[in-house]
Amino acid sequence: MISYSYLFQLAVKLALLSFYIGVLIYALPIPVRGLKRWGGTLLRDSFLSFALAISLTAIMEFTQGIAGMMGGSWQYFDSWLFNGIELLLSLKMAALSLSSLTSYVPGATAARAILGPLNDALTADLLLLFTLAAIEAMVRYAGLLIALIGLVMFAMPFRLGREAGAWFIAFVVAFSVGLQAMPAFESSITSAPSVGISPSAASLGLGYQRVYVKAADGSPLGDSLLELYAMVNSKAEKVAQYWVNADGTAYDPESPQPQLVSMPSEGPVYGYIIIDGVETLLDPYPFSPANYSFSQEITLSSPYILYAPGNDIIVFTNQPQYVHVVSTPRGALFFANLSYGGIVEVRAPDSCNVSITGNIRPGMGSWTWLGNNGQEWYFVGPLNLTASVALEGCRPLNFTGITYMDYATQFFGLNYLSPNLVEELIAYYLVLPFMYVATLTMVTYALARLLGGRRGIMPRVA
Amino acid sequence: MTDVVSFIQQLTQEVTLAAWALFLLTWTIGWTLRGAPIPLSRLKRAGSGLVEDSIWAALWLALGSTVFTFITYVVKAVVGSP
Repeated sequence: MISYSYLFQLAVKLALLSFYIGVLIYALPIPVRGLKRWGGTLLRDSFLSFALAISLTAIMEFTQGIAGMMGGSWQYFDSWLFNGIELLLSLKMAALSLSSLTSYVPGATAARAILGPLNDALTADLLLLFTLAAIEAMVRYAGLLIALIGLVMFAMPFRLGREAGAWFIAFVVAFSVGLQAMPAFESSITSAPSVGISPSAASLGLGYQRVYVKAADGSPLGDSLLELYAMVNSKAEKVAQYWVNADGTAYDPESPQPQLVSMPSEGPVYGYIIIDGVETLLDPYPFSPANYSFSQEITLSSPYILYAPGNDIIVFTNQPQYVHVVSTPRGALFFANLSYGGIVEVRAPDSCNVSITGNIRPGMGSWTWLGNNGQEWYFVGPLNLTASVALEGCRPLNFTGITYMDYATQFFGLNYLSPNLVEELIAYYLVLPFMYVATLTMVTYALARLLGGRRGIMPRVA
Repeated sequence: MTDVVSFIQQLTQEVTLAAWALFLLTWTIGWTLRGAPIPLSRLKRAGSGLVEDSIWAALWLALGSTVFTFITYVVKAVVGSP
């Protein structure tokens, strides 16, 4: 491992050697002007090398000071860069998810025509930002090493590595100031794009499916709220909430076709249903939307809601294996052999006339859910129950205060994908950084030329 | 690793010695040419040039050696190692 002090020592010794070789050439008894001129040149080079060697640490500190004066810092640059990379990755994943949907919807060719170039632009932009990250790693963590190697090359006798050395030093100085000041410069020209897409949301993908929800007896579980959960950062998070119509189909008012509800397309999704204030999970638990094609119907059923004849009447239990329900013309007959902790409960709205007869007297209570009130009758285990439920005069209910959570717009962030965003993104993360880096390269070239005396090692364009 | 540095240091010492020797040689040749009984002005001018160059070389040698020795002395005093 080459140490900084070793490189510094090497540079100083090389500068000394240059000096004495210069003097030697002065002292040569050969009166050839071309040869003698090297004497003066070597002396001047060794002085400059010495001056650079002595002031290199000061120059490096000075660059930090200048960057700070320009309102920049490595922390600021890191924050700018990682925000950009995160945003671009999210957009790229979102674009890929959307492009997978285009084959199913009308106008697919037009959508693909937009998404294709957008995806290419995002790839190019990601390459640019990762290049900046690589340059930052070089300048920030190996800047002094690169500058010292440049110094060693600069101090070589007969200008062997002078131009390359000058370029190395100029590169470190120009880019360590320039990169730190870049976010401050950009913020003074344009504003950062505000995007609500996160990589975790984008990685879940986007799909549109029909969902049918039913009770254990196969009847539709209508007038209920469907909740969908997904794993986000190793934690279950609610990603969608839809109303389920009386016929058992989920409804998404923000979807282009309301019967098609948006949900994650990648990874497992956990479904729950809330009806009459009772929440249960839905089988299959979890289900995988990736196994279903676009708009295919996914049937989810609650194993705990045993009977749902409609009009918000339900019979549910937490021990479905011990309860058997038989439908009758006026209601239902059920047999239960509950163990300790088991419960069977009947819920119905106030509008219904419910009569429950059985070998055990039920406990009673009331419930309120989405602006409706109802009664509940429950049996708590351990018990051996035979009971019948008769229902009369039930009417459909009106629900108030229903809240939706559309996955595509509220979680996935589809509504953020607008022309404005693309415009801001291109200005903030593509055009300006590219122009800025091109300018920094020219500054490096100019500084290298200043240090190297003649021209830098950049090839001439014209 | 350190060999490169010591090699350059040794080389520098040899170059310094050679420079001193060349200074003497050039100075002598210069005066020889100037004092030679040959009436060629170009030859005399070459002699003067050699004497002048040798004097400059001696000046830089003396100056450089003094300054660099002083710097080495200061570095030794401050850091504690050469």
